[in-house]
Amino acid sequence: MYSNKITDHGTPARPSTQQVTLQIDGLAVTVPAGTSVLRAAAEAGIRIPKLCATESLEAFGSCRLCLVEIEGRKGYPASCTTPCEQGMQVRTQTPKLASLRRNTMELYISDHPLDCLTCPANGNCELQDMAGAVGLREVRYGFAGKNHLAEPADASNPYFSYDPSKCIVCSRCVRACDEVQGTFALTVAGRGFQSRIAPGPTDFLHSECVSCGACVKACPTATLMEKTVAAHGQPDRAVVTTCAYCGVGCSFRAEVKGSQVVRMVPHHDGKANHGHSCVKGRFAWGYATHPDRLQKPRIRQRITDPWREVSWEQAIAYAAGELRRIQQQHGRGAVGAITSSRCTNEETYLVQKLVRGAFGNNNVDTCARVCHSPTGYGLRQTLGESAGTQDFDSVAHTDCVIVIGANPTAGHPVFAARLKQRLRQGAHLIVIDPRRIELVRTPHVAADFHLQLRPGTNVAVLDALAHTIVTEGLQREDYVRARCDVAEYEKWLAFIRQPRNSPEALQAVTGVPAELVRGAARLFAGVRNGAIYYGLGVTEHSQGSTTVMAIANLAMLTGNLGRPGVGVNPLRGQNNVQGSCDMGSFPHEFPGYRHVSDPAVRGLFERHWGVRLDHEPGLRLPNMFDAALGGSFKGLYVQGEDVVQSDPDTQHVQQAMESLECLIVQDLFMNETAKYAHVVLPGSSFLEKDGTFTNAERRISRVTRVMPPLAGKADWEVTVALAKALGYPMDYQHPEQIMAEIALLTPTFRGVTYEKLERLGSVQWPCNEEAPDGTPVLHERQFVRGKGRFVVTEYVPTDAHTNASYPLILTTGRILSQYNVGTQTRRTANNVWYAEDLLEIHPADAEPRGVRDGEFVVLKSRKGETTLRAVVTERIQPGVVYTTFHHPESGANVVITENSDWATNCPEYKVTAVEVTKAAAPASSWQQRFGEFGKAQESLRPGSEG
Amino acid sequence: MALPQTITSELDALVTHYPDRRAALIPALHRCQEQLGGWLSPQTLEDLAAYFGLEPVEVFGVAFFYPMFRLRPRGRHLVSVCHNVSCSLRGAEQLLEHVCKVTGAPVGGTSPDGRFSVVRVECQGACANAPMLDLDGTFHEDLDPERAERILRSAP
Repeated sequence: MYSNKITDHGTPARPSTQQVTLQIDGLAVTVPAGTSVLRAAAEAGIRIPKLCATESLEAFGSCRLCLVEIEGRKGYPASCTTPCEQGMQVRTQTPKLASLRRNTMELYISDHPLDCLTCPANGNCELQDMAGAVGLREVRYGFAGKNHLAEPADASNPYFSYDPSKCIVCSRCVRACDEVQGTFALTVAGRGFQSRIAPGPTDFLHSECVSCGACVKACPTATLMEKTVAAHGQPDRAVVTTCAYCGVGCSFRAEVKGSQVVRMVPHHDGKANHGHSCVKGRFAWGYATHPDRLQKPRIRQRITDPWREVSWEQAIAYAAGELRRIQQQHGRGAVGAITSSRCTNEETYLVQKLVRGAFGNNNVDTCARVCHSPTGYGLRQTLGESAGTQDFDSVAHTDCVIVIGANPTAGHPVFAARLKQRLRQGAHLIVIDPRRIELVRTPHVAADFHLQLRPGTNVAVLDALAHTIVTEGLQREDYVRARCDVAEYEKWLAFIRQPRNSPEALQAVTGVPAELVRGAARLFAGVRNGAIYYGLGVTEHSQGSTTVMAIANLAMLTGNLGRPGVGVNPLRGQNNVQGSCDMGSFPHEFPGYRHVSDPAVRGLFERHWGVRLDHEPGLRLPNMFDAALGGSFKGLYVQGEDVVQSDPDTQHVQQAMESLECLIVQDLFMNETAKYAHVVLPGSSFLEKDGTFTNAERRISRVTRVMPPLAGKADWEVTVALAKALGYPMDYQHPEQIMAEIALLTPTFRGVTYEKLERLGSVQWPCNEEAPDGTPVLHERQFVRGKGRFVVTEYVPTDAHTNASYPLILTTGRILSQYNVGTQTRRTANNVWYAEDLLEIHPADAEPRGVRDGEFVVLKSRKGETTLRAVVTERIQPGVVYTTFHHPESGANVVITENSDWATNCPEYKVTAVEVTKAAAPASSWQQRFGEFGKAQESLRPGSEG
Repeated sequence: MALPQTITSELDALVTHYPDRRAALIPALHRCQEQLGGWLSPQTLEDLAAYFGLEPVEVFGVAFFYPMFRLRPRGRHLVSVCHNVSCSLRGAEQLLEHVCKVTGAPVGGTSPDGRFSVVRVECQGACANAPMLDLDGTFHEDLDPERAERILRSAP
């Protein structure tokens, strides 16, 4: 039988330069000082029975099974809480210890149901193992006395159940919640015999629990148990793969029975997550086998025609024929493609190769256009490499963190757990956000400063911070002069010193009291290691690229680049945003960020790809929409992005889609964009294919096929087939060969092979001759561009200013349980936590509008209007409202305007002037049209009567 | 919701006596119980968590651990009957039974009219005059069921 057991050393490793040697059962063992006796024994291959100890948690000493005898000490100390000492003589197996352990075990079992054969944990239960290990043969006490066997279970959480009758109150769940996740949702309630685990005075579903699964993973019995394991039984094998949700890129063991996933367990050795997970990756994978999954290709001539289900060959031939027809009629540039940050590196690489090689133009763009394109631009301009500078482990060495425009506990929960661990150890925190995000104050973690700025004034706040540092002489002048371009620095100094950049001068603009800005600046400049983490609250602005450069300026100014504990850290939204950008998804760049106009680079790709390549950059995503409406762009291949729901100004995008002659959508589901398609090609989920994802720390990790593609083809195979039908054959049998080609053609990937990824678990690019095992920290000796470049970051107010008609500012974001446009998470039980998008509004704005909590309101901008339910809360500041875009019918992007970042066209999702009024009906006119269109499309699906 | 200002100002003074604010949690629970209707409502626990910067469940865990903290509403009068050795030897069980009969409250529960809550408690240190009961903080000793009944009936 498959065993899910990992080598568990019982207590965490204690890194120390000092070593101690002791004798355990006569064996000399040398370990770092501070290591527990339990761990030292485990490292020497000596197994001491244990229940309450596990190496992801600090020792607790409650189960009384790991008792040992130590020469010269009285009694039987618990080996988990006893640190090793030089010369210590430990015995782990004596008749007395055996008797003590057996008696203890007998007491546990005297209040534990003897239903092992029908228990879901049967075969993978630590209690069962320990009963065997201590040689328990009989239980003398019987069940006649008091016991917990009839205690009712709590099945309120959709993904796991809590059965107190099986609980041994070892507190592993409570400690996992506290130490690993940092949510503090569990406690031991009562005492003595009455002790039980409780999520407060309520059930799991209604408690503070965030369903990260840490407690379930830590439970040594079946007390906390995944419902899928209870339903399907224990798995028969495990496959190591990478989560397909956010940019943290957690490594998971997909536990499988046949080709059915039974459970996703965060991988202990995962370098991004170290065995931790969140509700999405851990539990919300059921969408992969949801009945809505597309299983057969579909085609139709007009979007008002009924769909016809056809074979792959027919669908591909039709798509290729249409693309060629359009090119003949409207020119080579009339078609293009959009790559997906949810697909693998290999798949993304193939789509851009298809565009450049088979379409013969550079009309390829990616959904990263609408999220992190300013990161690429801004970091390249200042530091020379368009990626985050650190690994996630770096946060363990930081002394002060700035979180700006990011809400990690919702968007990047596993990183947030790491961050909170460091904050609980005493690191300082500065939050720069218009909302009072959870990090501002959670149990045992509080921000030293919350700079609650007005949306759209990031640059002003960052300039004011830098101004304070410079005018108070707090900068690391030696670092800057040694590592940066001094002429550019002097130019920037002259700019930043100006009194108009002072916190006092900018206070009226930013809304942040000057003394808070000064305090935060002094704090950040005064620590040894300061790190900046940011998200889309930085990039999705008219000054997104400027903000990224202001962040880089601040990091250089304070000497915070080039070592662990510091850096500029973009938190990437999707699993493979970094990778899709690396793979040449942009209209002006080949893989590895090399411009298409560079003849040497183009020559390299022309030789390998065997085609002539266009030297003109192609259309960006918004330009494709405009060209479609203008009539010059007619054919689009969209792989794994729902542009209709995710891109700004929904009505504009809908009209652009309607004006295409051939829209090819490749996706798991009939998403909003697919409703406008002429060809639908079923996509494959991450469980159905091989490949790699690159996370926010440039970490390339393997995605491993767990089950065959539901529709018969992995995404990369579809692109290969389409290329062949277009007369540009691509010859790959496996994604490994695609990666070999990427490595051959891309200097930063030169050393990447599947063999290496499997051997090392993952690698961070650059991975090449200079760094064969990858690069955790960038810019160590010098900046990638040579000298770091300070860029003048003049604050320019956004055009999205409020006026009498639109007096409020709308800003948008994410919540924990839903992911992006929700195509996946809305098809899971995660809906119990967030079934609709809500509009947060401050009481001071709600009251004069007569808006009460829970009522429908109309949200209106100059672009359109939509209706959704209001939440009246002080989490948001007066004058600002907030919502999410997880549900298509909410239409949050209907109101977003065409404003965008000046450098990269990243849309300004974060600032829109709006008005909120009480709603007369629960649906706006857009929502009514949306509903009718959806219904009409539904009637056209294959096999329907309509 | 938030704690009444009378309590928070008392707590503000209280926390200064401890090296770590949250060390004042147990005395704070006592103050709240005394001043907010003789029990700790979920809202009170949440308010205290916010005051101390703790997660509500941590406050709940502490309150749940100690039997002197009541997490359910109680009657206007609290009757605590000792059942330790001396009192038991001198008829505490019959005393308790009678107390329940007179008040109409089950052990650990509240009478339907909301007047009385009855609990069984550990030794109160009045063994020399066993058996005993404690009515709203006042000891009554050397009891028999009839005397106890008179005491209870005279309660307002």
